[in-house]
Order: sequence, then structure tokens, then C-alpha cells
Amino acid sequence: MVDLVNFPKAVPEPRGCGDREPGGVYAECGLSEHGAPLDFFAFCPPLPIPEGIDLVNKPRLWLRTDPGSNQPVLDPLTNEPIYDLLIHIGAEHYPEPPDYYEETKRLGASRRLNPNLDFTLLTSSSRMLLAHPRAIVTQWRDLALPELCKKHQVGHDLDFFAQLGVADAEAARKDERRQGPCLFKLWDLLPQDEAIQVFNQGEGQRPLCLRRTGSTVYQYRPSGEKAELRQEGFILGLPITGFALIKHADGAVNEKAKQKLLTGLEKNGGSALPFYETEK
Amino acid sequence: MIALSQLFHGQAGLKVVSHDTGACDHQHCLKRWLVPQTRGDEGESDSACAWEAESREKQWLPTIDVRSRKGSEIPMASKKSSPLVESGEIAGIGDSKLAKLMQRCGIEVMPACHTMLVPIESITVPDLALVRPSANFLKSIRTYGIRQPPSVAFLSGATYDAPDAKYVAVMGSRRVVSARHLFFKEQDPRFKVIKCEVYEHHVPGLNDVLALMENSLRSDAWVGDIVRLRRLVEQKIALTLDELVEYGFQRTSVRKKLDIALLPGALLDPICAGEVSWNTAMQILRLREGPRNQLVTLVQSGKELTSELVKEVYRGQIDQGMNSVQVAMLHMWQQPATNAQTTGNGHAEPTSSGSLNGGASLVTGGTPSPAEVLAMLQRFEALIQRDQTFFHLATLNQVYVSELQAVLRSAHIEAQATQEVSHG
Repeated sequence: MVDLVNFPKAVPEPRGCGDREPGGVYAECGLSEHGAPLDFFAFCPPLPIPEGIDLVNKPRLWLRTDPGSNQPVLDPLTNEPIYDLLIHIGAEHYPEPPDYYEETKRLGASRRLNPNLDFTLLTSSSRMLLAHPRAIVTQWRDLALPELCKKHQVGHDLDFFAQLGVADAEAARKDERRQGPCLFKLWDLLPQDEAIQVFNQGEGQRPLCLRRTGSTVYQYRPSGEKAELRQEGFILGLPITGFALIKHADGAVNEKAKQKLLTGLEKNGGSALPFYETEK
Repeated sequence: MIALSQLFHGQAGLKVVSHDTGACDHQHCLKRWLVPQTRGDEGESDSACAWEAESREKQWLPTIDVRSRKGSEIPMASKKSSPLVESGEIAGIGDSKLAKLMQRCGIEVMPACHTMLVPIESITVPDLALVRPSANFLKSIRTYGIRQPPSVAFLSGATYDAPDAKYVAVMGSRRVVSARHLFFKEQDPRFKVIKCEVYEHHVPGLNDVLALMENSLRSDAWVGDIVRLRRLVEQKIALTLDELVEYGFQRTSVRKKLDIALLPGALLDPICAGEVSWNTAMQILRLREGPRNQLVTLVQSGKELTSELVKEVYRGQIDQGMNSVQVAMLHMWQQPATNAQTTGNGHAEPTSSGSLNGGASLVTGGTPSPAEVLAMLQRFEALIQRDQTFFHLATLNQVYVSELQAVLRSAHIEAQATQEVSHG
């Protein structure tokens, strides 16, 4: 049975893209005491978006298919096909992928949807696949390895090579066993001059920088490397915990969207996604 | 590279798309009024400018040349009566929106229409302030003249073709405004008179009705453009996109049309035969080489090039592209605990997204003093040393500690200084 009241919700604090808009409908991945760390849902390396698909300002539903058989993947609860949401993260609000990542870590995810989308197709098995235009560093082999890949992927970080006895960073960079690009290298590539505060750490050490996106401030240690050749890629595959309908000043919400969500609740039974109405 | 004259007066009439955005001035507002806006539908803007192209195809009109009419002060040369739509055709148009609009406008019979040369100064443009031809549009008119006569309606004067006749623009306001600019501001004599379609009398709402008719006509106009571009390609007339843009074409629209014209024959034939919609043609363009070849094979084996077939192949392309995502998702969700274990600490973070809620204890008992915070951070430092989970906070914590110590030192110094001053 779906808990329509106590389900994980995103934190309604100011975000990089501003406040949520009245009348909007938002897909959320909320925060919970019983959840998993965000890194668990990261795509490392970031995955390229399929050619020919345009996600800019157009969240799309994708019928999940089995890579082997090319048949639709069925929801074990409903025996219906699973649809995922493909969403683009705009660089105008989140110039770099870590901006969105760090905000989501703190506030959960909340992405506005086109109310014309068929929400009834989304269930608790659905995922929000989030793509950023600067996610994939194409010349990653030219760059130093990140200190730590939080997904602990083979060949991604200095830690991996240190365990193999390759202590020298330059040797690790050129090592044939190296793989990538590592998502967590993106933090190293954040420019120092965009930091809101810089703490110099002494000679030979990278400075500690603080960067702001919306109400979120996070730390990074720039390597000073430049990597402008980027490609759009998926960085996160988040569970959808529910929907938020943002109220207008008079308390009304987008009725069309609400009706669809109610239909979804009825149709999808145990795997339905709950929703709530909120001021912001 | 081919000469301009050859380009526009030869080669079966490769056309000048003289709109700046592809959305004609008189049509744009009407579309907004009647048709729901579809964001990001680029095909719409292309077809919006294509109506004019089709009209040109049907009645090729040379650039006006007033020099051939020297000596005629008011060269009103009414030679033929060519209404855009005959009165009998209106009821047969079959567009319910159009019929409804005509009904509301009280139009039963379209006024008779004549092609005439009209002095630019006798034409007024409604809502002049809202009509703003772009620099590109103006450049196109300046270079090539007005290729498609604007439509005007007789407003006042003895008769529609009398020397004192005044007219109001009903379609092609931007063309008229551009001609006015070129004649009055740039003293370009070519625009003293312009060729117009002159309606014998003005009917309120006429421009809206005409625009709707254009809408109904323009839907397949782009096909004609593809046919011509294909012909140019087949004749090996090398035209680059930049050259076409230089000649006044809109980069976005002509790029897409060129891409379509370069499709394999198996796909291009049905497009040129008008059997494929613009949206489907655009979807074909989004296919990579492999899926596109697959589509060619299917069509060559006898399958009809339908939107469903294209969607199916397109869908296959997307699915293939999503395979890596699907594999990654399966992997990440099959091993929820393993990843945490690989960190070697067995620690499960308290929230799905690693919240910083723990920090709330700092403020729950009231605002702590800087010294209390410092003490807490120093205790936390000890925890960081013990627990690898907090390893990534070590540097920041050290920075906070040192910054806070610096602040406290400064505060202490300031307090001492203040004390000394007050004692002194």
C-alpha cells in the first residue's frame, strides 16, 4: 500500500534554478532516513545520451527495454512496462554537473515536468535519468586522475593505482589500465575563479574552494586543469519518490496534472507514486 | 558557386526565403490566436515561411523595375484580375476554422482582386509600430526586391484604381514597411511603386481570413523546396550552406531542407512525392547512419515510408543508445550494499541523498558561541581521525577550525583594544 502522507520529499529551499513555480508539477527524489547515499545513484563514468534525442526543455518518457532482448522491461508488481523520465539539467542554472549533484545531495531532486506528460506511466520502478551538457570530458586521458572515485570504479582514481603500487600520479595517468572518464574528476575541473571563497593550503597543495549554487555551498579543490571539450551525458539515475504540486496564491494547483496523478494512483496500485500539494 | 541571376531567375526558380524568422508577420499573431503554441516545433516556423515560396512557385513574379515605367508619375497599371481565391472556392476550402472565421467576419464572397503597381506612399500599414522588419529581411528586400506582391485593400478614393486611391495593407506588412523604408529613408527609386494584389474593397478581418487560407495552403510547400534543392544537388551546382545564407536564406530552415535533399533516393522519392510529413522528415534526419540505412533497406524491400515505420526505427536507435544506461542502472540497483562495503567502513548514510541534518544539533539548543563551535569542531576533528566516513570533511574542518581561531584571536585583540581605550 502506498503511503500517501509519509513519503520522502525534496527540501523546498532555494535551488540553482530558483524557487519552484506556482502551478508547476515536479517529480521528486526525496530525502529519507532509510535511503542510500547519492553516490550510489551516480553514473560513473557519465553515459552519453543517445544520438538524435533532444532533451533540452523537454523531459521525455522512455520505455525501458532489456538490452539483450530489446523487449520492454516489466514492473514485477503491475506486470506493466516501466517508463523512465529522461531530463536535461540546464547549464544556465547549473553551469557544472557538480552544482546539481551537490544540491541534490543536500535538498533531494525536484524537476519540473510538462503537465502534458502521461504521469500515469510512472511508477515506483521508474527512474529519473538526469543529463548535464558538460558531463563527459572527452579528453580525459590528458588529465590527471582524481584522488578518489566515489563509485570506486576500476582504474578511475589514484587510490586504485596506489593499491597496485603505482604511486606516481603521472605514471598512473599514462597507465594502460586507466579507465574513464570519472564523474568525480569534474570537481577537480571547477574553476578556482568562480569560488565564493578560497582557502590557500600552502605551497604545492590545491586550494580549498567554496562554491555556491542556490542555497547550497560546497567544497572543492581545483586542479587548475582546463577541459572545455565536453559532451552531454547522464550523471544520475534517481528513484522517483513522488510528485509535488505547487499551489497558486489562492491555494489551487494544476488540476489537469492532479487528475493525472490521481489516475496514476488508481491505476498503478502498490507501485503508484504519491503526490502532495505544497506552497513552495 | 553560381551567379545570383542564375540562382534566382534560372534553375527552375530556387527561391529567396525573405522572412527573418520564418514566421510571417500577419500569420504569426493569427496562429497564436487560433493554434496552441508548440514549443520547440521548428518545423512550424519553416512551413510558416514556406507559404510564400509556394505562391512564388505558382506565379513567378519578376523583381519590380520602375525604370521601365519612366515618365509615369503614378504607374497604376491594372492589367489583370487575379483573385487569390475565387468566390466559389471559399465554401469548398473545408477548413472548419476558416469557415468559422469567415462566418464571424461576415465574408460571403471574397472581393475581386487585381495585380497592380501601387505608389508606396498610398499604402497605410495597420499597427505600424508592431511591424518591425529585421535587418535580414530588409537586406533581402534591398537585394532582391519584393518577390511576392503584398496584398492591399482599397480604402478610400474615387475607385480602387483611381490616382487618389488609398490602400491598407492586409498581407505582407513587413514587405510594405521595408519598401517604405528603402524609398523614403534610403531614397531607393525601385520602391516608389510596388506590385500589389489589390482587393476592390476592404472587409474587416480580411487579413485574418487570408492568413488562414495561406496556412491551409502552405502545409506542403516545403516539399517544393526539397524538390528544387534536390534538382540543384543532382545538377551538381555546388552551394554551401554559407553561400545560401549569404543569398538571403535563413540558416536554420535551409540547413534542414538541404539535409533532407541529401537523403538517399529511396527516402527522398516519397518525400518529394508529398507522401511524408515535415515532422517525419525531421525524424529521419535524426537517424544515425546505421538506422538510416536500415530504413532505406526497409523501404527498398517494399515497406511504405510511414511515420510509424520511421518512429519504429528511431525508437530502435534510442533504445540502442540507452543500452549502456540500462546496464548501468541494473548494476547500480542490484548491489545496494556492496558499494557501501567497498568503502571499508560499513557505514550507511542516514538519507537517500546524504543530508547534512546532523548539523542541526549545532543550533537546536540556541545559538552557540564561537568558542563552543570551535570546541565542537575540535572534538569532531578527533572523530574524523577515527572514522574514515568523514574523511572528505577533514580539510574543510581544519579550515573551519583555523578560520574560527583567527576570528576569535581577532575578537580577543579587538576586545582588549576596546578595553584599553575605555580604560585609557
